Amino acid sequence: MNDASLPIDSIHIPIDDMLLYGQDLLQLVYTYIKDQALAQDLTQEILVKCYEAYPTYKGKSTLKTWMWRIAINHCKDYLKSWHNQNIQVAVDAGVDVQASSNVEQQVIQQDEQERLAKTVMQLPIIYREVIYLFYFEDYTSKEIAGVLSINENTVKTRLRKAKQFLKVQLEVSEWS
Amino acid sequence: MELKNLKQAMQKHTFQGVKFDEKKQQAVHTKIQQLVSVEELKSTVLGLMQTEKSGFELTKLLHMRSEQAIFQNEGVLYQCLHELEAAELINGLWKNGEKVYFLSKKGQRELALMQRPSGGVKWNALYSK
Repeated sequence: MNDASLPIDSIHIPIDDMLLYGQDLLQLVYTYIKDQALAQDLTQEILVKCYEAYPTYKGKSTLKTWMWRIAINHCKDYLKSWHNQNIQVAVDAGVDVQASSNVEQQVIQQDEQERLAKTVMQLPIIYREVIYLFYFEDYTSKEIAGVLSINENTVKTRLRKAKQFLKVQLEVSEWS
Repeated sequence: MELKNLKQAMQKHTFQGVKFDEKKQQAVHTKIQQLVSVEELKSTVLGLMQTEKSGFELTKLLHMRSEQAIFQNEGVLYQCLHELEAAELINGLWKNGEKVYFLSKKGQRELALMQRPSGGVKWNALYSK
């Protein structure tokens, strides 16, 4: 708090623009957290964080990329937190919502798409995030490198390894 | 089966119930509003501190002025007081088992600045915790 501070109304904070990304943001958070209620809470925290941190946004990347960086760090911090590692929340609802329904029927209905989605969600985080950003969010490997603050070649390596892993898991011979 | 289909696959099988609805948006607005109102509350509190006051007295005064920020959320006042104290705008003193607060020199200057008509919430004040 100092006397030279700027009045708040001289900075326009585009909270409505930020909220437009709410759904995408929630989905991103969900790929890390795999729990709907928790993902909702974290998404709210992230939006508030973005609001508070907006004066530090220099416009060097798009607003979305900037928000994604905050979101991803927030998720990773949460996953590393004492609370997450020591408190067991009931059943993880996220990964398999219909676990209680007829298992046999489920296996039959489990089409390739569903297996793909589930396998991706079960990848270790470092592979899951690059696959998600590349194939779901259509980021380039260069952009991903920026969002995750890692080397572009690392992104490429991780993408390649992730694809190999998926290939083995899904027992398919061709990727296009 | 191609990774190109991942979008469709995840929309259908991973995100089926993952919805960020109006209610959630509203919750974000509410939280931000609270952040801003804490800042407004700070300046109101400064204005009330011409003479020394305890937290309890301040609560009563703020209720009389029907200050929205502390409605059903009195604890926020103490958050304000601690932040003001940490910023050295007010000083606290224990008196008869009760902590009373009064404006510091710096606080008086800040108050004089705020009471100019331009006023408004100060960004740095909101951001520095």
